[in-house]
Amino acid sequence: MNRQLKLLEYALAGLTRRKGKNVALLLVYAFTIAALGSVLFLTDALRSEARQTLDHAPEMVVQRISAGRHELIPRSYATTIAQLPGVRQATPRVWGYYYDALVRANFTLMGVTEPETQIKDLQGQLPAADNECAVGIGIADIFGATIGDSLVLVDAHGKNRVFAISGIFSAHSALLTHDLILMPEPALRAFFNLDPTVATDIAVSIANPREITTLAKKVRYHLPDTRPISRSEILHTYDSIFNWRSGMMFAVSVAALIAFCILAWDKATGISADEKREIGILKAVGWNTGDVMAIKFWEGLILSLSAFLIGTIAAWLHVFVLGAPALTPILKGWSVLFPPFSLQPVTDPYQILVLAFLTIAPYLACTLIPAWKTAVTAPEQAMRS
Amino acid sequence: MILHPGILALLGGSLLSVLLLIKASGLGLTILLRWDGTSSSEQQLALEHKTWLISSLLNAGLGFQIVSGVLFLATVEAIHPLFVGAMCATGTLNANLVGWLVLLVKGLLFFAAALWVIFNRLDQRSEDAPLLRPKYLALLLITPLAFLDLTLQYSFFSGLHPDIITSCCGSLFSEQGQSVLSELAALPPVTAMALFFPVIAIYYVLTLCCLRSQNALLRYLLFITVIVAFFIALAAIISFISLYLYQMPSHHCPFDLLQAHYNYIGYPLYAGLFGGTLFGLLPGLAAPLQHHPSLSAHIDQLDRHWLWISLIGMTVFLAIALWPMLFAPFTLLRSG
Amino acid sequence: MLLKTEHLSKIYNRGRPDELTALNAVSLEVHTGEAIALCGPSGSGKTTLLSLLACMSRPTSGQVWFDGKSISRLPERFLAALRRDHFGYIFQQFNLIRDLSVIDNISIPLLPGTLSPQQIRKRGMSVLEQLDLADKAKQKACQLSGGEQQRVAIARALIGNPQVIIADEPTAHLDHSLTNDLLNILSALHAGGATLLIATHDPAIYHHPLIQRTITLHNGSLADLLAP
Repeated sequence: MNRQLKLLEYALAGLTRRKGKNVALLLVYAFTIAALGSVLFLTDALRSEARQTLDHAPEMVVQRISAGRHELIPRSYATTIAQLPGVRQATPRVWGYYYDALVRANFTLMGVTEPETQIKDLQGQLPAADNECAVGIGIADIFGATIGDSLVLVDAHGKNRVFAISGIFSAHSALLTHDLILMPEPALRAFFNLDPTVATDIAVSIANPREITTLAKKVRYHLPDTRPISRSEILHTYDSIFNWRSGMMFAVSVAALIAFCILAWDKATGISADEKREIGILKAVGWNTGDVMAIKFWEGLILSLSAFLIGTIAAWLHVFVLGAPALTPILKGWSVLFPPFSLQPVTDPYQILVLAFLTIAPYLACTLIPAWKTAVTAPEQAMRS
Repeated sequence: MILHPGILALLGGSLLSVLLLIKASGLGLTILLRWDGTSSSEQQLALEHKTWLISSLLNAGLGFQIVSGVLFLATVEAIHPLFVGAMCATGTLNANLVGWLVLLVKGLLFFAAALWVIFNRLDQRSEDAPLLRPKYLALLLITPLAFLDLTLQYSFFSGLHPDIITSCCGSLFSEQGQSVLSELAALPPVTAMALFFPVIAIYYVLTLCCLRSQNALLRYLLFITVIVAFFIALAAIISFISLYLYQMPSHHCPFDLLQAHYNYIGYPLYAGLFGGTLFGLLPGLAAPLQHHPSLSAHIDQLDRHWLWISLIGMTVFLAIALWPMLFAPFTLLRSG
Repeated sequence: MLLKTEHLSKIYNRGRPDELTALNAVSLEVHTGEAIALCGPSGSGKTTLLSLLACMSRPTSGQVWFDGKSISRLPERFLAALRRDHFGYIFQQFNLIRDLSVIDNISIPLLPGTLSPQQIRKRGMSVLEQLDLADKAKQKACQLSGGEQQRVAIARALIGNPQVIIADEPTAHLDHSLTNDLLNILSALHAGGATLLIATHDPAIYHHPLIQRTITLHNGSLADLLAP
């Protein structure tokens, strides 16, 4: 132990003596780690954001499927579902997407049935009258509107409808409400020209989460033309998508890592004449191959850990302070009104472990054989140079 | 196949350690074929240089194995939300049967690599390296094991389909289940305790005897006891130790202990158990090597170290396991 | 008897076209406390013989005995330990590590051993004091004059309290006065009981009263054994 500490100290001194070579390597290494780390941190933060959002979603949503196509669901289905034991409540919902040609963006329109309810993160009020609406921050921003302003939307008959904005959702809930417009349900039905006997889907609230799977089966049994989707299934889908996305970006970054390892290998193999001479001296005055390999190992470890520290901090700052400017273009593809990142700075020890394993292990493995090659320098070399 | 960073890291790491081991066993094979301790040819010198590389490849391999074991459990835990019904790592492992096999191979690989590294160190202390041949033969056996680890891991992860509905801890460890682990859980706490405490007591008695006596027989007994104690301890963790640590009467999962929620208490617990077991095996394994004159003095010296490390490891394990039983309000067994 | 060789041979690149017999069946004995000069033209095998005696390489055939123990087939780690614990080397080029401080340079041989950093430092300082270098301890080796570098190299050889001091052409890069300084230091060491083995073709050394015996090598073989 004592011996290793002394060798560690020598390795540390050795690194500082060969500053030029090592600083360059350290920077490239740290950059690679920062790239990988940003991908990991960003997807992890998005995932936990999505999970938090879904915490408020109903345990199960029931849609009607007609020939594999999503179809409007009769409101009477809600009564049938509500009668199943274990179901706390079954609420028909009315909502739909709306394309605004003016700003060229998709909005989500949703009906509210109980305007008295208080909603967190809402400035102002929920719409009470038929010509009122509450909007997400993204929509307020795109029209430059504030509470009291009017919003003009084109309804199912091609007529312009004017809605007064009664409330705006704050940026805090952006992922869920960014492109959302809430209006009273009757007004939305009139807007979409929907029959009062149908709804878009039915939100089912279930008391015991362990019964979700059983209840889903029962719903399918009683109402064969429906598709129940549980919240956890949505969660899996999100998780899968995020895993897939991060996996893709990861694969790209891993290529960078491999490139770095080749560089590291090259650097470790091409030792300078000075270094070779030094190792000859060490061997001559009583070091063995193992001692030399030990200092090479310590050098590698110190370099890796410093690069890891720098790279991880850089990745953290990039994602949580700057909002991941280098990565958002890749993620943005799927929505014009992409929610701005107000990412919670979460750092999961697991992500750090993965990052450490992915970046430090290959480096150490890459330098092992070159280190050995230099370490077996014959001690009598020192007498001959 | 799930493109999860943790999975990529694990597969990459396993691939890397297989490559290291293939390189090491290639070198080992050359040494087995060409080694001539009496020769002073340049070829012999080159072979001697290769032994250094093999040692350090194996050291690296052991390091990878330890970290990747931790990473494997953490990954299995991290991806459990992808599986409907899986509530913790057990659910993921249960998604296909290979999961448990991977865990078993990883455990074996850890012990094999650790024993190799320790006996290599012992051998290097002697001037004539009497263990050279057995050592490199053993290396040729470890490499396929690492390869098995890689392929099993690959087939486990590629066989994971996020929509598979799996049972969670609750049903896996429920008394009605049929799998191996449910049998363990079905081991009633009283039975588990009746096995666990005596075997631990025997372990302590034997270790203390070994510290006082040079008798080889005692060391063989200790070797057997440690193996038995290891498996009984694992059963005990599932059967009752976890219940006390979680303070819940039916939560048997042996992996949740590793979670931040339980203050990572599982890490020192398992580290103590694995370390105690590993070092408890050594005196028994080294005893037959006493007849090598160049090793015997070193073995005598290391024997005490091993026994003490084993004793410390087991005591750490036992202290963590017993602490909540003695001091927490939760009671599993009513007195009487 | 401290060191003994029996039919010691060293052949480089054996079996290849560039095969070179550097040393051929050399048998000699070195007693504790002797001061021996190893003479011969360059290429006569002086360095090879020194490196074999100093446990730095292994003979192709023949034996080397140190303190009654055959060392020619010892595994590398034991040879390294012997070098560290029993031998001190003074090289032709001083072979210092240029950008390390003096004290760090001379501590190098002891780092892999069992001494604590404090003990190593203490020993290093006492050796430096002995050689009048204590005030230069913190300076980098490359900032010293040639004579000072030579003394640092000697200090490094002495830090392990070696039984045998081996020097390979120690005066090759020294002027007259520095050569005298070196010989004075070596004489003091010899008086303190150290065994000296010096390869040289500098008459200033092999005619120095310090030298008790001269061994001459010619084409890898012992030319003669001369007693002064």
